[in-house]
Amino acid sequence: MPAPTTEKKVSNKNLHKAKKSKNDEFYTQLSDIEKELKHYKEHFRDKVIFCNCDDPEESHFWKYFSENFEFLGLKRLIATHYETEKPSYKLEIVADTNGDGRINKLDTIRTPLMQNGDFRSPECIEILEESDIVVTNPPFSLFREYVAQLFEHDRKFIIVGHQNAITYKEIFNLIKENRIWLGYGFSGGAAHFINKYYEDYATAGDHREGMIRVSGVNWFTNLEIQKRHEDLILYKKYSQEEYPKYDNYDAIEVSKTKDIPLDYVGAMGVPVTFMDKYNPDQFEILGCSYVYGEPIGYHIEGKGFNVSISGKEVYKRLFIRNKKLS
Amino acid sequence: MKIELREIAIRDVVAGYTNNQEDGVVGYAGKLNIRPKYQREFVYRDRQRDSVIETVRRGFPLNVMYWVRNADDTYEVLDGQQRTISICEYVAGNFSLDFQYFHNLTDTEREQILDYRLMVYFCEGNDREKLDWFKTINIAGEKLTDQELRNAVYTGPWLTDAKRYFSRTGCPAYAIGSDYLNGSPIRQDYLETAIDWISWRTIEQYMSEHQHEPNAFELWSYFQNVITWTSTIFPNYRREMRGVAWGSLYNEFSSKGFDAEKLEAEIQVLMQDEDVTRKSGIYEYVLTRNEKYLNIRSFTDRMKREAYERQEGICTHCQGHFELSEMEADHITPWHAGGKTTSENCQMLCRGCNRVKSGK
Repeated sequence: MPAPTTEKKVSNKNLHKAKKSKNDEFYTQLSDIEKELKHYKEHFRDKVIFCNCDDPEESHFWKYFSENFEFLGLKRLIATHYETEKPSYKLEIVADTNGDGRINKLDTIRTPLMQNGDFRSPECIEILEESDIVVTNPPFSLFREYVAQLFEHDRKFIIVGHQNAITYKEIFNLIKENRIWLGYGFSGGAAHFINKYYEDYATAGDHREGMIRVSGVNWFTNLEIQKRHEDLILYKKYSQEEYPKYDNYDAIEVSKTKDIPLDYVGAMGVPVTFMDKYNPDQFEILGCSYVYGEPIGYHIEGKGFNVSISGKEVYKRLFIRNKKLS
Repeated sequence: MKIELREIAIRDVVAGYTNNQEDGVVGYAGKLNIRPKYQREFVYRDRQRDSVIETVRRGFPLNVMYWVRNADDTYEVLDGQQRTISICEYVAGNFSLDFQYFHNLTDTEREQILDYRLMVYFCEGNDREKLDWFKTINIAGEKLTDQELRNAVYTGPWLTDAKRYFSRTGCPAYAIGSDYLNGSPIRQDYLETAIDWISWRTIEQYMSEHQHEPNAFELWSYFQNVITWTSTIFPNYRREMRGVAWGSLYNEFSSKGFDAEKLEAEIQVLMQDEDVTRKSGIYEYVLTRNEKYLNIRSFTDRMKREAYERQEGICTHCQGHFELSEMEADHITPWHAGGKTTSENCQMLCRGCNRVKSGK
């Protein structure tokens, strides 16, 4: 059995390889889309849905919304296709254009675009302006820029991203201010994306034909969901021995989310995966280690950005406080 | 006890279907508790889920299901939970089969599904009768554990709350107790053990007494106390500690003072004593002083024969002569006084004398 780190390295290598060979298309599976989006059904009624950064002919997002157009009561569905170097097209469903009494994929209108369908192109921004909710799997490499655009235009969204994005400087500020949060997620915290172009190195039990397994993937959204209002049940009692303090920041180290003590009033450092259990009524996010640890003021010039215990650096941490104590 | 086989159309089961964390999974116009909240969440694989729908669409029969009638005219799904959820989720439009959602089917296809009849055994009776009956029918398919059966009988707010702590993967009871308990939370082993401990082995009585209480805080706080007490008096963890009846020890000994260091020193000695054949019993022994927990090694037939010959068949106690088969081996220096299970420390007593001696 290879160590987990090996697997990570391999999939990163694969991602790079895929990017180079222009096969950077990771299609989210329909069953994963269904499992997440069933929690948002009431948000879609009478809304304009926009799926960009996707090849609508292949995309299961398009498939999901076109098959469910009437069921969800959509107002309009738009998808744009991206071409690297030539003009592209958009697909749209608005009404029962073929007059068969139902609104579905048979009513799709295909219109050529002047530009290549890049989400940053003026044409696509125009479509974004007309839409209410963006649902897609944007390229991980452009995630910051993609989210920045959504906020600039003040749109609602449900998008796939990597959990590493939580600590990107720009994204983290939004997380801290409760303007973006995690969705229900993929089972086991890993997604199988459809990508025919290269080999998956997932271990035998996890391997699926024609797919690539990427761990640490989640949904990011700013739509209200029940999940973020569920309290995490705490049961551990604080003790100095079990929860050491950091050398360089006044907080205790909690290396597993489930071990958050129920009676500690001050700041606590938790792994990034805490976000999956985060309820803004229960906890407040104070900051985050690494580069953007700076705003909370412990970073010393010339030293690392992580917190440390007895001189030993601790992996990336979020700093939180229990709001219910004080 | 009344048991009745009825045909229930899918149309009726899916009526009023809701599935959320807050209320659990409900159907049959709100009268059917399909999965109480925090009930074990065995997740069906997509393939199993899809094959249920396939079966229904082709009009093939599904296995019979079991519903239990509660006092307030509601029902509980005892067997058939995953199949029922698969059907309801499909009709609710939450997943597709071959890229087709329920609402994309033709009217005829939809009607066929809604008209499909599930075979359901309805059962009603008092708690005792239900429990007996469940145990009897619990032979086919995915077997339910005793505690799962009890959970189907003693439903209510108390149980719902208890499951938050004891019955989920990664639940708090597992997090604090997995070093000390055997079994799995989702199969209700943790809940069973906790109730067994707090109730002094009268699980069903405890459940029926607490059934309608608003929460299970008493049980959870008791369980935390047991674990804290255990890890305080036995701070040096050994794997033999898993599966010990900690609650029973807690009930009996938590009010007495113990010196953890002294206990640890004694445990170390006993762990190395090859006459102690049941190492996990050491923990019970150091508190109860009852040697039966240690399963002290017994004399071999060879040792017995040697002692018998040495004594020339005379019982060292009453001086009578006996056949080997009429005699029993005994430690000359008792084990607790440092005597070992060796030939030199073996004497043969007649059955009568041995009974008298050990009964002293």
